[in-house]
Amino acid sequence: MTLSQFFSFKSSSIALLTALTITACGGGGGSAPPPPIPTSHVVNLSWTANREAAVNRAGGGYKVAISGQPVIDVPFPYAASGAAAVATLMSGTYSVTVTAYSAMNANTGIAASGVTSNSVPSAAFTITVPY
Amino acid sequence: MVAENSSSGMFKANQNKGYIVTSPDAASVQRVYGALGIKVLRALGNSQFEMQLQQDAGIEAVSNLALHSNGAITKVQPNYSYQAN
Amino acid sequence: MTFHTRSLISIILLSAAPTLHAAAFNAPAGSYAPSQVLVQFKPNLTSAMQSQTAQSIGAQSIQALATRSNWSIANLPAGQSVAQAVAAYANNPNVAAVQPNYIYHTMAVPNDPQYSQLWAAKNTGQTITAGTYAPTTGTAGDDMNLEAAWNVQTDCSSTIVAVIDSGVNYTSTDLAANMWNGGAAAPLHGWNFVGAGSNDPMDLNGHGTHVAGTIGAEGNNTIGVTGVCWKASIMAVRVMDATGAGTTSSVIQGIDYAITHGAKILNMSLGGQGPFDPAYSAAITRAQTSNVLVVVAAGNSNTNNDAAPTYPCSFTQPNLICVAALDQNYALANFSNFGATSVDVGAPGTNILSTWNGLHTTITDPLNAGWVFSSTTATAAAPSGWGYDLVNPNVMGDALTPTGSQWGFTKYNAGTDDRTYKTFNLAGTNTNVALLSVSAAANLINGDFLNANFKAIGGDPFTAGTNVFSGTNAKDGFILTPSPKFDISACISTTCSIGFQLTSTPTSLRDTGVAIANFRIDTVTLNSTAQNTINGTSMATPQVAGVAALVWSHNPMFTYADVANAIKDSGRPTPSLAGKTTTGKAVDAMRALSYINQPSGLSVVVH
Repeated sequence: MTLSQFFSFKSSSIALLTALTITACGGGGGSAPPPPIPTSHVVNLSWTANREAAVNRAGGGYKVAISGQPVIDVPFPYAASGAAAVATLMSGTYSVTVTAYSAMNANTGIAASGVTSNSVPSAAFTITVPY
Repeated sequence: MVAENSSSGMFKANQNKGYIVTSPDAASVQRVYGALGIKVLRALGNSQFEMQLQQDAGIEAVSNLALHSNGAITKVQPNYSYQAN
Repeated sequence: MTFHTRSLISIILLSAAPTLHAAAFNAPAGSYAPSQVLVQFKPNLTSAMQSQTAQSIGAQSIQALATRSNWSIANLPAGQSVAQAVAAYANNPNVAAVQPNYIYHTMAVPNDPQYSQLWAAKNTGQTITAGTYAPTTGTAGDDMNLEAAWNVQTDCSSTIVAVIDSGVNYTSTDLAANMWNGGAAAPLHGWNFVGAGSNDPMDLNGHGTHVAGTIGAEGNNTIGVTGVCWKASIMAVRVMDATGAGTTSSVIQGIDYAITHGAKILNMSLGGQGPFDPAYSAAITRAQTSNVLVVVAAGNSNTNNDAAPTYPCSFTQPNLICVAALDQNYALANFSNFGATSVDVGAPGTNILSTWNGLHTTITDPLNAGWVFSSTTATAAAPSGWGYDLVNPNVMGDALTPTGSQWGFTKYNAGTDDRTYKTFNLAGTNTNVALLSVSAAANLINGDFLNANFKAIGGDPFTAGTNVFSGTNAKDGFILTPSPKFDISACISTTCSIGFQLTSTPTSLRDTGVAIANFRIDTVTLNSTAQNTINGTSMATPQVAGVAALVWSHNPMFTYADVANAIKDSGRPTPSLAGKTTTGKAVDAMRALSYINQPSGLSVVVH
């Protein structure tokens, strides 16, 4: 390469470099990062055991309603953990209620409209399962 | 025991069922109210006593004596009447 | 198959849509099996297709019933409610009908001969024959649903209920077996806190015995009536005397006694419209601290307790339930107090039949013959002294006009001692109680007195007799009818003399004196078989106390709050109580028994 060819090459390189727009990643005009990947978590729920005799004998139990999930039935006899349930949930936010039932009062409180329940669901409890 | 008369003072004096006073002991009650003549002094538990006076001076006078009793009498109230419903 | 034919079949299927039993969605909890529905498949559907259909809806299994009607029981999967299953089957083209598998109970009915008169337990629209409150017939179904409740629980004996009242006739054949066993310290099943007190809480009034019977007259014993509890443990705590009157001192002693001796429920069918009573309130709080439930009457003045407090109903402790009275049509009784923030529930309180303390009789005197008169000053010129008013029948007066003998126009003499008395036989057959009541109009100068006395051995009761009442300084004053009752039981004898005396000072300015009317003596002879039908929020209160005892006996781990919630939240919405009570509900015993409190204390651990 002659000196003139070099300077010509250098000029064209500089021009090429000048023509290049250096864009920082993530700045305007770039693509969004991928969303976090949901993960599965084991969730242990527990509550104060009801004192009704009928809840604590055959025919009694609890229904645990977690938003978007099948209802978990916890029938008597209870495990050593007592008034408790285990669920596997993906990352997200869920609302949970627990309703006790007995053979005398079968309706769980998770009622279709018009069904009269004599069992009061717990106050709703929010679970946040992390990513 | 007498009836209440709504239009005059008749019979009113005999309606008095006395007072409930709160005091650590009967001796303190005697000390504060003895001069009025205590007709009935009955322990009710919980530092409370039923007190009926020979000469009923009224709730204000009885309360006033309690106020100046240096803590011997901490509460005074009328002994209210109740009836079967 | 052509399109049209296919379409026709579709139409047939749609028009033969399964019967959706609307009752399923209105059926109360507990009225059907929780994990089953009954399904009637279309005719000619094979067993395999029936199974397939049920499986497609998630059934764990189906079992054909041994009937000709093509019904099967479908057992639901976990998490599927009956309502959801009914909806799912109803939308399936292979299903002709679907419904819950309803539960039927034998209704427990006691064999007590007067049971049919207990409309509070079972209202069939029956006439209450001894009823005095109109209407004496009512609406079938307006009752406390006790027969269904008795299928679950009849024995309340594990829960001591204290009847804090005028005492209890513990000898009643319908109460004796259900009285609390107080052991050697309380051999008569409780205590008496009236006056100086004693270990004998015998009821000399009747009110407390009636209350006790409503709670726990022995049920199914072929005698008399039944209480809400067939078996019970009733503690008799006497705080009101023979006239039905009590005081703060007697009541708070009664409350403390009941708590100390193991009562879990206190029934107080009493009230006063005085100001806030701190000592009484503190006693209720002591009950709360001891996990004791207190059930009280709203009052019988047809007033709003929110505006004009009546205690104990208007106390605000959370362990207190205040009860209004309902009639046989579940209307608010016309005498019942109410209060949107102070009265909690309603219960039957009119024409209530229950146990009583004995035979009550009344002696009335026409005040026109047989009285002995004397005066220390009467002369022809200055007449004074008692006499029969000849213008107003059945009135005795002092002084009377010289001509015409009329009261109200002639002044009594100064310095006079005018007496009148009459002798009565009050002994009867084992008379235990005698109560005097009179009406009196009085115009007396201050210092001039009207006295009433009695003397059991007869003769002038103002000579070594016993004073009943005294009064002075009256102008147009009346002891109104019905007058208060004065206990003259100490005069029970064959020769009880009762009299009236007017005395005046020597310098009296004088007035027209006193007229006596409506002279009456009520007597009580205690017995073990008496019954009575009466009205009041006093009668509604023990209905609720009895239900509380059923609930607590069924659930021994309950707190007072659990019991109160079960009673108040589960009741039956009743229009006449809306806006008049905190709950708007009438107590329902079965719903209270089946009520389940809200779970609490939820916690979570995310791993």
